[in-house]
Amino acid sequence: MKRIMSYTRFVLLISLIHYFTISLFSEEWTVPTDQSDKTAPFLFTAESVQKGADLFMKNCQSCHGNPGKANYANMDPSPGDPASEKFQKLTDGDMFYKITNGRGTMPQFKMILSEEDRWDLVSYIRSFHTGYIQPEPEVATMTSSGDRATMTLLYDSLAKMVTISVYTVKNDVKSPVKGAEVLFFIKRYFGNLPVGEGARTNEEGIISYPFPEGIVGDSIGQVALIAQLNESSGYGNAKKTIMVPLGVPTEWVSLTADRAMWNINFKAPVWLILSYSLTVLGVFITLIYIALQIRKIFLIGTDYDDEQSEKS
Amino acid sequence: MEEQDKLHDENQDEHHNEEKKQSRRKFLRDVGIIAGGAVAGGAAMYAGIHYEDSKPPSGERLKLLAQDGKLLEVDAHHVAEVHLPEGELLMKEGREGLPGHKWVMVVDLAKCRNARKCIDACQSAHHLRPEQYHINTLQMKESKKTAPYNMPKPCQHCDNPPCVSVCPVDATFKRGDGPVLIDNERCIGCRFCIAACPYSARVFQWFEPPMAEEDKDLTYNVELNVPQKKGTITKCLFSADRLREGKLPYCVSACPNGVYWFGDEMEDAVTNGTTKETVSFSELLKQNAGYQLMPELGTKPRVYYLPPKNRLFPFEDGIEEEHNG
Repeated sequence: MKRIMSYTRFVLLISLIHYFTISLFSEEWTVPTDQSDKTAPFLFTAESVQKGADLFMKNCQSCHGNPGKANYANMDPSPGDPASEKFQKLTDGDMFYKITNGRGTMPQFKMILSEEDRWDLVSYIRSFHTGYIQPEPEVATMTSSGDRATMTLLYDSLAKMVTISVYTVKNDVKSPVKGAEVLFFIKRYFGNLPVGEGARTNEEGIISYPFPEGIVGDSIGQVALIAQLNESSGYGNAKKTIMVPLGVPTEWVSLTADRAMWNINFKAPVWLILSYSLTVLGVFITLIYIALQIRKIFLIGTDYDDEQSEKS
Repeated sequence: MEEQDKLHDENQDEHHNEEKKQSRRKFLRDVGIIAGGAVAGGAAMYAGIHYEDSKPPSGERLKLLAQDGKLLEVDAHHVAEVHLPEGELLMKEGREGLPGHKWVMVVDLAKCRNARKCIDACQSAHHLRPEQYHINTLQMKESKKTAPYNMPKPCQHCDNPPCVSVCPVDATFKRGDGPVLIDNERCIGCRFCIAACPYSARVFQWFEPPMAEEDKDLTYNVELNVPQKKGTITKCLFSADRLREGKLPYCVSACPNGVYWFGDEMEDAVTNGTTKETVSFSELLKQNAGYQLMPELGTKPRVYYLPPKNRLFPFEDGIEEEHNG
């Protein structure tokens, strides 16, 4: 009876879990309208499709398989084939949003792939849709490889400011870029830490960036500041690094610097070294003392023997 | 009779004297050899130094980074490359670690859905058997009415490691930059550390390691524990070999669900292995009520956990059945 009970309970539990799983993932993955209407900043070309194909092999193929072959991974929820109708009826903006932000098992590629890379991926996925017509790009001036701006960084030690100037060079003529958004990061061991909000260039194409306080630096407070052009402003993704001595200096003290029970012999606690050495020393002194005493007895014995033999 | 005895005694005395003389001669000869050797050696060293000094300074000054990170300047002609055999070099580097860093890991329990990709990556990197875990995902349920969750559990790389205290041969050791490593060439297999570890993080190689044949010509790397050695301990190493290359640990980069954050406490930054996002370590802990496992033991772990709140995935195993069925 009890067994039957537990069996029914088990079935109930499994079905409940199944229900929740389905209800969680059958939820529509809705993309905000403004994101959905977004279009690629360049026209898709054979070059962008090729770049997208390479990126797809590296980042997507392990789950989504080869587009058109329906050899995607057997997962729940199913990753699906990007060449299928389900994918192709999405707008370019939908695809871009989903690649960028991810959901559940689909990882987000915001920090892994640049915007250009993500659009190249969309162009690759679109290449499996024969009747596809690309909507007119909003920023039509750009190509996949970009009409790029150049950036220079300058540190002013008096004002404690970093000056960023953004300009394009055409026929040896420098023209400042107005209103380009620059994002700031601090270089860290495994990645770049975003700091603060981005800033926009003024009429002269210049940003005076006051370095934020409380950023941890190295032993003398040096910090590597990275300025990067926001790709969405349409001037490429130029990136420059500058060393700024405005961080909070940190002193590294080795975790094995202190004496501790778990440290190497040389760095054991003083009381341990002392008591151990004294104990060992004590044992040896006792042994030597005993040996000396035995020798003494032996000498008394030989003296006694000599006396005896002299007497006889 | 007595005279005979006396004669015998005298004979013996003479013999004794002879022996003494001989040993004195031997002693003098030995001293001579040592002294001669010392003088010759000294002369050679002097000549060597003299030769080094007599070389004209090349005028070229080289800037070198000392092991403690100090910048030094020396004349180019004094510089000689140090060639250590590969094994010795790996061992030396492995013991010293990476100065200037203190590695930390943050595990977000809300994200784990027991995909076990971390385990696969770890086991293939360290050549382990499928039942040997440097990191394992445990199914947790605190009490009858609390909700179950998955918990990845690597070595906690304690700053006050009880396992290292009990090691009688200095085989397992704490490094200045955080990781607790094990030197399989020193380990005698006493398993004291297994008994001492409150997190059950250590594994004993009872059998011949699965890749023993393939690995037999490899140089032992203390930061990777490869080749593995039968009869010794193997344990999570925070992927010390990957940190040296500036890469995230095997488990961290293999996770498909963004469970792991890994970084440097000195920089107050951790990077997510899945999304590659970098955030402030202290902020992450502060905003998500980060905690440590069994902090009451005073082990000071270097692995932090974020509570399993707003879980991404439903718990997918009949954990209740095992206990109540």
